[in-house]
Amino acid sequence: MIQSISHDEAQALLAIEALGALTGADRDALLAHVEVCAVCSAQLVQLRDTAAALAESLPAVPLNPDRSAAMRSRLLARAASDLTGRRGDDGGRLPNEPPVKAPTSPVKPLSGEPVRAIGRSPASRGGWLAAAAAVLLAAGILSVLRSTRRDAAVARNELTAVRAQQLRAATEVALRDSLIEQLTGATVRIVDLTGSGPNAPMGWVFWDQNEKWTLLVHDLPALAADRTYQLWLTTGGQRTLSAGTFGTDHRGHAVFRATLSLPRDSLVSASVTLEPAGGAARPSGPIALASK
Amino acid sequence: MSASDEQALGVLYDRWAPLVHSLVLHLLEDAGEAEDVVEETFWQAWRQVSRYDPSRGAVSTWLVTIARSRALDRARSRRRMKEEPLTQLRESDAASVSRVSSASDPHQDAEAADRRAAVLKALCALPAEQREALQLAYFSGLSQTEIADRTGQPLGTVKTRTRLALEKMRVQLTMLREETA
Ligand SMILES: [Zn+2]
Repeated sequence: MIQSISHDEAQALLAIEALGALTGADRDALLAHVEVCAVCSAQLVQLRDTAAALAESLPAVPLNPDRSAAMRSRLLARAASDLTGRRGDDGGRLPNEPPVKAPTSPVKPLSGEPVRAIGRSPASRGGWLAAAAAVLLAAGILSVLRSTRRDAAVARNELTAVRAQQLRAATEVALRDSLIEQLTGATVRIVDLTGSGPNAPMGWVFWDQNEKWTLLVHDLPALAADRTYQLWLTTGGQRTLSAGTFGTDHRGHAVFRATLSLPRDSLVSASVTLEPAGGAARPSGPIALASK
Repeated sequence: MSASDEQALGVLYDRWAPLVHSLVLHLLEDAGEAEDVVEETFWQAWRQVSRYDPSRGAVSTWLVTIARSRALDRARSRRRMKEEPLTQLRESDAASVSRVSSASDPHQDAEAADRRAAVLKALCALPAEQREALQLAYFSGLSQTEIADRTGQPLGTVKTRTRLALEKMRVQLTMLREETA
């Protein structure tokens, strides 16, 4: 029987739990409350991150490079044999995933290109897409991007692997979906978008170099009811095409997918503008996000 | 199965092993044991990746939590836990950390130094007794009761100090990171 505690009692225990110092019935009671209280749950996440940041206050002591390399090889070799021989003894099973296929559909000509599908809001895409976005936005990807943006090659390699791992960690469903291919495939091109304003909104366009587009945005300002965000893609011929309109959740996050054929390597820039509801024929409103 | 799964483990290792190592070495004060715990930590992360829930914190939090818990278990079983809190922090520590370098990737080095400076600055901003409560809990793995015994303070005082300390840290770090973002 787990003892029930009030919100105020829980508040007093959150920091102690985040520091790993809560035990016994107090801990059981707190965790039971956190399960049903969104406020405490969100605070506990932040306090755990804060507690873990204490580790960063310590002087950095490098591992011996040779022994570290040996340890890394050992871990990867064990992981590889674990994948082939895994019996799932502790819930650590990795989901099986189909092999990633290269895009096979032919590149369609640019002339007369129809916008064949317009993206939807995260909610209507189903929970897994929102979950995948939450991973990308919450699980260190922002700091990875910020810290490695200066080196596109490094960012690319690191992100591909980290994204794959974190998507895998987030949801097994995502693995079976084409999303993972669309974000991590070998030909995927990533365009960084940045915006001004107090929230410093950010976004990324992932293009499979064929017809699949995925946009992730973070910290966009809330929309008025009669306004929408619209994604624009500019090609080498300086044509600017609409990839569709989208809204955000209450935190300004959105995942938006569209299908729009462009010839490989034809993308010059991308932007997001604020437009009247329903979208505009060409960019007319203020720029919310733009590539460099 | 492609090689990308192990490769992803390698990426996590490259990115976070320096931090994990610095922490467990501090907790264990034994180079060999620290290396063992680093390896165990990444192995456990690999085995339990499907349990990782991003809504419950960052990847680094997850890895650091695994590492700390394993290191403290070892330290407890050896009964030679560190008794004293961290050496006194000074403002000059925060200023000097940009010279500290561990990882081979210079961008990662710079980021780690920035983050360390921010955390030290936030720690230095706490009243000494709050900082001590925080450090005894986190780095020595002491329960609130043990900290009360150790410091001769009432349990309620210890709990209040610990709570205030971590909440102030959270606010400070958020502000510092927004400044530098
Ligand atoms: Zn609550």
